Amino acid sequence: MSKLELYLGLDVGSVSINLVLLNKDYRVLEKLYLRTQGKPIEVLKEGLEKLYESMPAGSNVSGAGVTGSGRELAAAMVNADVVKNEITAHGMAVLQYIPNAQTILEIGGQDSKIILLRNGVVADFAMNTVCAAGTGSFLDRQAARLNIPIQEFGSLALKSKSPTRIAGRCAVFAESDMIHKQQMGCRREDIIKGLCEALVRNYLNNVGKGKEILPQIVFQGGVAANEGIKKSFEEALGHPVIVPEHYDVMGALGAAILAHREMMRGEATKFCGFHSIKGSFATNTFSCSGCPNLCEIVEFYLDGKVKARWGDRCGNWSRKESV
Amino acid sequence: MKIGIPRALLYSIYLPLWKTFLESLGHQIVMSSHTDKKILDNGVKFCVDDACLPIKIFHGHVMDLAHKTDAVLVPRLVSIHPEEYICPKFIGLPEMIKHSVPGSPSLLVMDYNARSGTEKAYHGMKTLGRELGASEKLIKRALSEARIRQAEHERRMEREKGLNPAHALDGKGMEGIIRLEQGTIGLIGHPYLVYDQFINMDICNKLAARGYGTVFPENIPMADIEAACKRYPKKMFWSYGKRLLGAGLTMMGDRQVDGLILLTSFGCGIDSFVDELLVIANRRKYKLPLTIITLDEHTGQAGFNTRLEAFIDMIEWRRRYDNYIPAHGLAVYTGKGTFR
Repeated sequence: MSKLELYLGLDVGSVSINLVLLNKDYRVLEKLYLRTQGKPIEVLKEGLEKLYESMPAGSNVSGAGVTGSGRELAAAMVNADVVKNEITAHGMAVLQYIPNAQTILEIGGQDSKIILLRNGVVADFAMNTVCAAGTGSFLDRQAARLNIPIQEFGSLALKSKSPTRIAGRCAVFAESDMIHKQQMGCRREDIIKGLCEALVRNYLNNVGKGKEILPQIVFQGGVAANEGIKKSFEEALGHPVIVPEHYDVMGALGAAILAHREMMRGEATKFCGFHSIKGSFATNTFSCSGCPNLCEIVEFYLDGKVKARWGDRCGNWSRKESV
Repeated sequence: MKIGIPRALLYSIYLPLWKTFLESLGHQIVMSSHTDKKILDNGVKFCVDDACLPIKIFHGHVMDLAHKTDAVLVPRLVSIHPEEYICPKFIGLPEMIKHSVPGSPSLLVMDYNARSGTEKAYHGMKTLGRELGASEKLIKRALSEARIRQAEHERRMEREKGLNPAHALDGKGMEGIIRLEQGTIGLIGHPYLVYDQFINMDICNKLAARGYGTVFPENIPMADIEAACKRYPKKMFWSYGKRLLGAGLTMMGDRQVDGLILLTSFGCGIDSFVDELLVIANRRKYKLPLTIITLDEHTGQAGFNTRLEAFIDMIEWRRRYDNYIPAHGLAVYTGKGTFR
């Protein structure tokens, strides 16, 4: 049995679904960054199939970890060994790849977070509160409105010589301010750079409020692809900001590492294998009428049979035996 | 008369006073249901949109009682401690209800104003008693009985650490669970967040499932709270601001807890600076794991669970590190809390 052991990490987020395969030494063999497009099940299935094709001969998955806001869904689909929140997963990945990091700035599709690492552990963290202003989905929307491919958004910002000031407190204010500046005749790159600065200002005042931001500073999450934001962070913080090689899939990497650690305890993986992903998945939502809370229960089906349920406050549905 | 009392805002603190008084005057008390989705939906629908979540939920509770009772009690808490005030929304509450809740249910407004002295606080209750047609003698007896019950309730909250006053009122008689196998979390927030299982997404049971007990601001004796707040140059004139700040500082200072969670509802003015003062004090001195969780109308629990889970992971991660003494500098987390 000299099979190559691989570890699968999945990060099912609001905007993207990320998949990685790691070997035992935490080297990335394959990574996928896919847009969620509002249909996580289909995209995840597609991604897993692609990943399967890329697996080296004689290798198999010895552990699977999931994270992200869709982690319950993903865990039910693949029978994950570890289901972890994004903070722990991101912290784990950075500690592995950039051990001297002290600050993680993470901006994803709908979440932004700051994680402080001290002496190799997560010492403090904060997440955006009730508002998703300044996250990836807002940038996506602005790029679409200005008809600029999101990939070019950042490099365009770097061309700016005199950034204009944009209100950053709220996405709605930012958008109306951007339109005002555009109608005043400001250059497009100056508006975009202004937006980058506004987002960074907002992030540091809101998510990063009162946090001691020490180097090394790591910037990751989908938005880290944006060079304009990275530059604005460096200007605001006065320190270089590192964007790791796998900045866009760090959550998935963390999940895979956590899976490996879990499997070191000696149990066999629960991962269902790639063949069962080929089955047909479906969900059904209904409102439970057992009490006035009227919880929205999600039933998750594999080939017509209920595999898992979630969404209930009382736990009566999620505890119920699946067929 | 059948009088309804909304199970919202400060009921978990003052119910014995209100209920005993009205019952002693010969009325029947009906409580609204525990907060649920329908109450939340009704509150959000009929309350002015810029009010905070607890005020909206109070509206929902009044509606829950409107058809079950002859009248609904709406306390007007102006001040609960001499020379201090509480949130101004409590002062305007009866008017907000009158103008927002449809079908204009009949309301019994009961003032409570301790600003110029504790004895004077009960004037409002006596006035209500007279309006309800009770004799002076009966009012006097009812009030004295009510105050005895209230004092018992307050003493019990301070004595039984970890006791959730809302549970105590439900007669669950549950002994406070402050320390489970993993430790204790200090839950700092207004009573209407900390003791309402629906609004706070069942945080106590979620913590218990991970092996953590909880301790609440009402479990901290007033003398400790006053002493802890003395370090600030100015008086905290918001009563709940003082309680939350003093309770938080006491829990941190006595190393009673392994971490603190500050629960706040979106847009709370008092919390906006009390939480900040606690965060600063913790950063400068106590260095305990601490997080702020903002609650609003969300019923999706994913965001809440992520923050809670990450917080517990952080405590455990830091604790593991704590067992290892570095060759350089100090550990981030110095010492697990023990409850005295």
